[in-house]
Amino acid sequence: MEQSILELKSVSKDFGDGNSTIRVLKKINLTVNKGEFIAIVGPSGSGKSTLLSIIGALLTPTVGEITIDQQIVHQQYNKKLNQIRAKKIGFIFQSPNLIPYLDVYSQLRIVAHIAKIDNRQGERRAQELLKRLDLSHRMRNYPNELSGGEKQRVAIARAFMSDPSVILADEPTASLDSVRGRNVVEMISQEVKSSNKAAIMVTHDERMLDLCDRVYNMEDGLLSQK
Amino acid sequence: MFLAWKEFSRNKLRYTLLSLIMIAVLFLVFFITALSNGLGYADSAAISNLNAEYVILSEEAEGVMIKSELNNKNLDEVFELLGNEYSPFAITISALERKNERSVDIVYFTVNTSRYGDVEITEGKNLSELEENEVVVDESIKGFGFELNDTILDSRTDIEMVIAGFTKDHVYSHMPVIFTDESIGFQAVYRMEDTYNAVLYNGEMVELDQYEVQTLDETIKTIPGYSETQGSFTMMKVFLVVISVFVSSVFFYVITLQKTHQFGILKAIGANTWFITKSILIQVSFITLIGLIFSNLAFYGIVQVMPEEMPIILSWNLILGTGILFLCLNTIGALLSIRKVTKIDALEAMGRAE
Ligand SMILES: Nc1ncnc2c1ncn2[C@@H]1O[C@H](COP(=O)(O)OP(=O)(O)OP(=O)(O)O)[C@@H](O)[C@H]1O
Ligand SMILES: [Mg+2]
Repeated sequence: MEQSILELKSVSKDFGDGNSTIRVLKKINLTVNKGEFIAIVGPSGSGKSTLLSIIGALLTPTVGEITIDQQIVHQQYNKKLNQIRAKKIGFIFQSPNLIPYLDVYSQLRIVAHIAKIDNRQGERRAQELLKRLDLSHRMRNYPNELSGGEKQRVAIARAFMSDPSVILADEPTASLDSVRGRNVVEMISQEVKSSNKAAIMVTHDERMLDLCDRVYNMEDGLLSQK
Repeated sequence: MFLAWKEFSRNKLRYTLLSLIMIAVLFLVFFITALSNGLGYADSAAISNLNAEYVILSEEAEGVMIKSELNNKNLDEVFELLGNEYSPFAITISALERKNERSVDIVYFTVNTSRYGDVEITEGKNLSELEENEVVVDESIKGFGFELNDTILDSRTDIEMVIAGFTKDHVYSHMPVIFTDESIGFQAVYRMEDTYNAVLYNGEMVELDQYEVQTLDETIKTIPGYSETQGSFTMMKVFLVVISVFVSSVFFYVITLQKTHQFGILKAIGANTWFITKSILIQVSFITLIGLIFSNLAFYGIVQVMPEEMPIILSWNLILGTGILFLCLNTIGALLSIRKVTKIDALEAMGRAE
């Protein structure tokens, strides 16, 4: 039997500004198993980023329940929540969000530090990731010295750094050329298959979909399999 | 640790400027405080350092020493009532002649040198060892070119005296004090007969009819202008400290608030609040310490090149107290903005990662 890593049970999210609320996500059910790579497509403003943020424990759902590795995420204490973010989730945001005063290598080391990975192992993993993402020669550069695509690749390396169970990627290829973009998606796919993880990628790029196991469509807060 | 240092080394200019501001603010606090302490001190130090627990004044003086007048008959009466002879005390303001230069304002403290007791001597003889026409002078007079064994000439009476010893911390209204014996006679300069301001004595508090007996502290407080001067100085110091502490802690508040974005990132990758707080605390204490160290060095340097006559007093307690105060309030300033940042969620802090 396939084992699920990630489960969403009728998750809804409302955004309100006092007098009016909009329901951005509507009763979303989703199960992702080990070794599965899922894609979500859909028009702008349909709630894709919001969904990823909720799965990534950055937002709390208005209703519903999310479990990662059989743990109900949103019932955890704050302290636990930080550890879930650090160890279980690798988040690739829509923009790179690097820390401006850290060089590329340190961006990764800080993750190891927060996730309490020991030094030796962290060093090794950081170097390996940088090599895989073709960034070894950029190791000592700072974010403002990198191109948009390079920054995005650092952000990807950072998401892989803590060896998370779930990888969440919000348009990771938007600022990359098609060859590099495809490379990155292949990397995510490889990472998922080889170490039995789960990944969800939001994308606008139809050419990447063949690398994914299932494709979902997000339309006005409703998720449906294609 | 790691984060704090990385940020410093990546933003050297910014943090150098911030440290400079901290140094300047602290320097200002120390300098102004030291100066006003010094000025307040030079006003009345000689009186606070008088060798007496109690001061006996004439009744009409209403507690004000320089209004008090006691003649020889009064003295005899007081000594009889006390059952002991204590030192009489007279304050006489005058000046000393200098060759080819403006005369120097000084003040004579006329006492009975054998009964007054000893004062702290930095050089030469003490009061009880003085011989005829010898005097003990506050060392601040050295700033006017006088040295041990110099002969000094009073400009009003042409009395000649010899500096036999130096004492310290005896300045009165910013003038150096000269301790003279009754035998020299300054207590009779302005009157036909000996006129003293007070009798100084140590021992038990007594009640005397027709005389005012008060503690030395009370006497200091009734020096004309004393409480007004000290009040102004205190006010000045309080305002200085309050305003500069406020400015510096608001500064740290704003600086930290600017880091919202990176705190958001750190939180999103799983850092807890303590991890973020720790690095801020390190930075705040480091900058404050740098400020303390260098402002003190600057203060020490400026004291070296300042003219001798400018009174400066700064104690370690004050430096330490100010340091701790700034450290606490800067930290509070930074913590307030951290609290604000941790309250909103990571996503918002990152600007919704758009
Ligand atoms: N904090 C918020 N407050 C109010 N409304 C919000 C908030 N966050 C998101 N929304 C709204 O929710 C909807 C979904 O936003 P979301 O960012 O998930 O869209 P998306 O599918 O990722 O779009 P895109 O493809 O452009 O990135 C949008 O209409 C947005 O305006
Ligand atoms: Mg989006």
